[in-house]
Amino acid sequence: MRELSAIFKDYPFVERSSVSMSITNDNRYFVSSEGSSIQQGQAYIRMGVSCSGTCTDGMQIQRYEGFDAATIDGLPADSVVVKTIHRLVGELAVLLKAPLAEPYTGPAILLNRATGVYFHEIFGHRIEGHRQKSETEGQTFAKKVNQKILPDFISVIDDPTLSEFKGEFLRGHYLYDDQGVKTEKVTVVDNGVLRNFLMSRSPVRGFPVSNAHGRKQAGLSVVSRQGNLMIRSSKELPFDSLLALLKEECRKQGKPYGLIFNDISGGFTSTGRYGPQAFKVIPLLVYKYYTDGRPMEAIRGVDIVGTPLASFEQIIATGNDYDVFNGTCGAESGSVPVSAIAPSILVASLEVEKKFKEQQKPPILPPPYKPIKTSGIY
Amino acid sequence: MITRYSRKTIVIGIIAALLGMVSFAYAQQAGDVLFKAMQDELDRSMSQLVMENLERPYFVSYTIDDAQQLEVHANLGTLTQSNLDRGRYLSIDLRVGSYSLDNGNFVSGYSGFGADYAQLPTDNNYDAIRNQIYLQTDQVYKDALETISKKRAYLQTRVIANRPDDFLKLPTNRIIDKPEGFDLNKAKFEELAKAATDVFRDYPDIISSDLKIQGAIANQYLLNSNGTRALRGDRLYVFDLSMMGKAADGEDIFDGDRIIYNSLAAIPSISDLTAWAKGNADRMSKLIKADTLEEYIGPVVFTADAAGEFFRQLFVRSISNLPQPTYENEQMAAMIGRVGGGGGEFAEKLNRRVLPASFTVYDDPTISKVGNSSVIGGYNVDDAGNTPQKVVLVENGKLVNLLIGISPTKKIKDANGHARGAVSKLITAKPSNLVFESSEKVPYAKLKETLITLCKDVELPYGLIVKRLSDPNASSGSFAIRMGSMMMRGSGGSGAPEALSSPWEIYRVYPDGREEPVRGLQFNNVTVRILKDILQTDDQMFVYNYLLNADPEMPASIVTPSVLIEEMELKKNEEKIMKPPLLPSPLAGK
Repeated sequence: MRELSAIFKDYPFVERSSVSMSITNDNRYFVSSEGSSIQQGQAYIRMGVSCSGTCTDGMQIQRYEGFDAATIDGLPADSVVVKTIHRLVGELAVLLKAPLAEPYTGPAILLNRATGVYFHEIFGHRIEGHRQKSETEGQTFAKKVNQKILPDFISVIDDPTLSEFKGEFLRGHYLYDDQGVKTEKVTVVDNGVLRNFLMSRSPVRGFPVSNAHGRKQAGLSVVSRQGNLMIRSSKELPFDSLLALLKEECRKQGKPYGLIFNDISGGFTSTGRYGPQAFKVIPLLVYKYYTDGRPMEAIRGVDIVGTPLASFEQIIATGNDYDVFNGTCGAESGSVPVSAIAPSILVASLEVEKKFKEQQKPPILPPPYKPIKTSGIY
Repeated sequence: MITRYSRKTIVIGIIAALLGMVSFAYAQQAGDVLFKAMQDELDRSMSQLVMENLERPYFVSYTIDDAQQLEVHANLGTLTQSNLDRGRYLSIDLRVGSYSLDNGNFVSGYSGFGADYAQLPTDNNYDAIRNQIYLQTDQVYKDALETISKKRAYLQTRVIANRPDDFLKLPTNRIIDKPEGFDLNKAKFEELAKAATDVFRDYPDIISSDLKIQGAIANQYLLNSNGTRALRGDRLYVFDLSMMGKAADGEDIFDGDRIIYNSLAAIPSISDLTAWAKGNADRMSKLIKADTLEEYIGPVVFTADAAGEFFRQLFVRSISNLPQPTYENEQMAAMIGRVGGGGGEFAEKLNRRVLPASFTVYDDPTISKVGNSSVIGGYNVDDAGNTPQKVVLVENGKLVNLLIGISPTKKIKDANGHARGAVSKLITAKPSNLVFESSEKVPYAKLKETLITLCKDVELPYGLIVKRLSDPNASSGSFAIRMGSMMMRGSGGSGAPEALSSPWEIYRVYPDGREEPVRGLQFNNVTVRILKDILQTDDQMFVYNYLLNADPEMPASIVTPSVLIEEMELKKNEEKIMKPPLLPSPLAGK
């Protein structure tokens, strides 16, 4: 960790940086008056590398990458982490000098892991069972069972029984939920049609049985939560074809460029009736993809905004490049580990707005230390 | 056999000595790196840190608390929590403007009543440590510029007469203590905690109990732009016991005890600590079965812990944190007062009587003993790098001086070595070892006699002796216990908290001298003026050790006799009572 964290010293524009490791061993013991008696243990290991800096206009830029595993041996080799650190520093350097983006509506590609976060935020939270019956909830999908809510080439599954995907550890894996119910694969959307909700033991009209999604952080009360959310597509294209489609869509709409969202940090979605049924997702790394063959250009300072039902109609095609996003989800029942697995998606129209910006200026003086070696990026 | 034993002892002795040397050498090395990193960045900040056309800092002070902290909790003979942490914390006092008007003493919005700090690497790596100092200085400087512009705007729109300077010209000091080694032994304290709490298995009436043991070792490195350089090594061990039970009528009964030591050698043995826990449990069992009283108006004696807590809540608060900061928002000021900040009621009482004429009160950070008893509030250098001084606060009952931290008050304009703060807490004027002396003292038996006579005079069947008060700053115990302590501050429904918290341990004394525990009472209508109603004191000097702001970085002592107050009013606790548990404790009858 010391050695890895020293790499950042080469880059004076990196203000704060860290290499972190957290190891959590979670043993849960459950007994109930129905005779259940369950003991289960799960280890969560996460190694994180991050760096941040300040643009001359005061905007804070942060780059982060996490590595998740169930055992120390499951973590990547040092060489992989070193490569990741250099990539993050490179991206930070580019973003610090990147132009500010303007509000825009047009075609976009969300990369696989960004798609995972996107679906988790704006779709996953709306198929949680308890949200279908609370009068204060927007109940986006409560009356849409057996109706088409997504393009017919997309299915959505939540399967906590999977402990890994293509060799990658899944944080959303568990065998029994926090109400003692055995996990199963739940098909929520089958070829675009809504079939089921993520259920805890709190029943919803038409769905009287739990499907083991009652989850919670220690000390809180259970509500239904996501586990391993998977976006499956029957219209999988190689990424190059997806790019070609993006270009074509831009031309069709008369846009000089489309957007490519490389990394999304999460976001928030309002599912309550009190506020608008809208979402905001915070992209961390966004590129302009020009139709005239100019090289891609990084931009900064945008958030994705939209309304869920309209957004899903806009998905045109998907890639075949499924990948895993491991994270921690916060909601009424606290923080729970989750995963989202998704391919890249092409969206006909997506809206971005200017993000809130801090006014803090960059440090007045240069860092007090001398870089170990001179870097090519600076 | 004998030789084998002695050899083992020798080997252990050598290892212990080696460990001591290693940790001392480590601390020395830490000091070299920390002082150098602070000095180099301080020089740069004073000469180069400036934002386009704005003011440069006129004063910068860096404090690094290099600390090892232990917190062990146990109940019923088992550990419920045990953490040993190591951390380095940087606090910066950076001032722009001038001594008469700077960015200090001003609370704007929600910022300004706490102190920012940054965590530093615990490795002795010069570059990494200095980089954090650099980044935090940059942040603090920018905040200072923002604060002073708000403060100037605020002052321009208000008429504030006779405003004292914001900051003292601190003298240049070089006070280098020996650093402490980080030798907290987790296993040893876990063993103590388990053994001491195992006794509660025999007391099923005590529904919940918790023993918190805190160990805190800190070396504080301070360096400022006046050329002061200081190093102070502190160690503290706190044993904090809290208990909760329910009387037959459902009243929640809270009780607890706290003992604090500042040397490893003073820590009690397993058998001593177990006896202490058992003593507390026995007392608690009696309190649970005690009679309730509806109300009482008459003479009251405060003795032992209760006498210390009495002066802490009424006197210490009144002389602390002077001068009070200027609040941009008046509501904020009121809120801070309610959550236990604030204080300084004696700000305008200089040369006025605050205690009976028989009283002399002084605060002395330079002593470690009063009579034969140890006091724990002392230090060789205060938290702003000042030399500590004895300050006589009250003479013949009159307030003659005030404790000064880093800011002068309207009338007292020189530092007297009472600047105290901690990581995340502002440095303000606070007491150390506060000693109350009375010239009208009698033996305790005589004090009790006076109490009985006073009762007879007004035809009361009994008088009250309070031996323990709840601690309104309690930070230990279960959630219920903490809430209980807070509620027992006794708001009485009117909103404003009583100046004196509820009694935990209280006895009625009959004319024949017999004492009987009673419960269910809280004070009514107490203000700091009650201090002037002290009729008599005994001739004992009881040492009450406590933590300022419940922070192990700020130990303090009160040395006091027992006091008799001519008349106080107590009323029934107004808590909503929950019924006792439906089933008996599974430990009962085992």
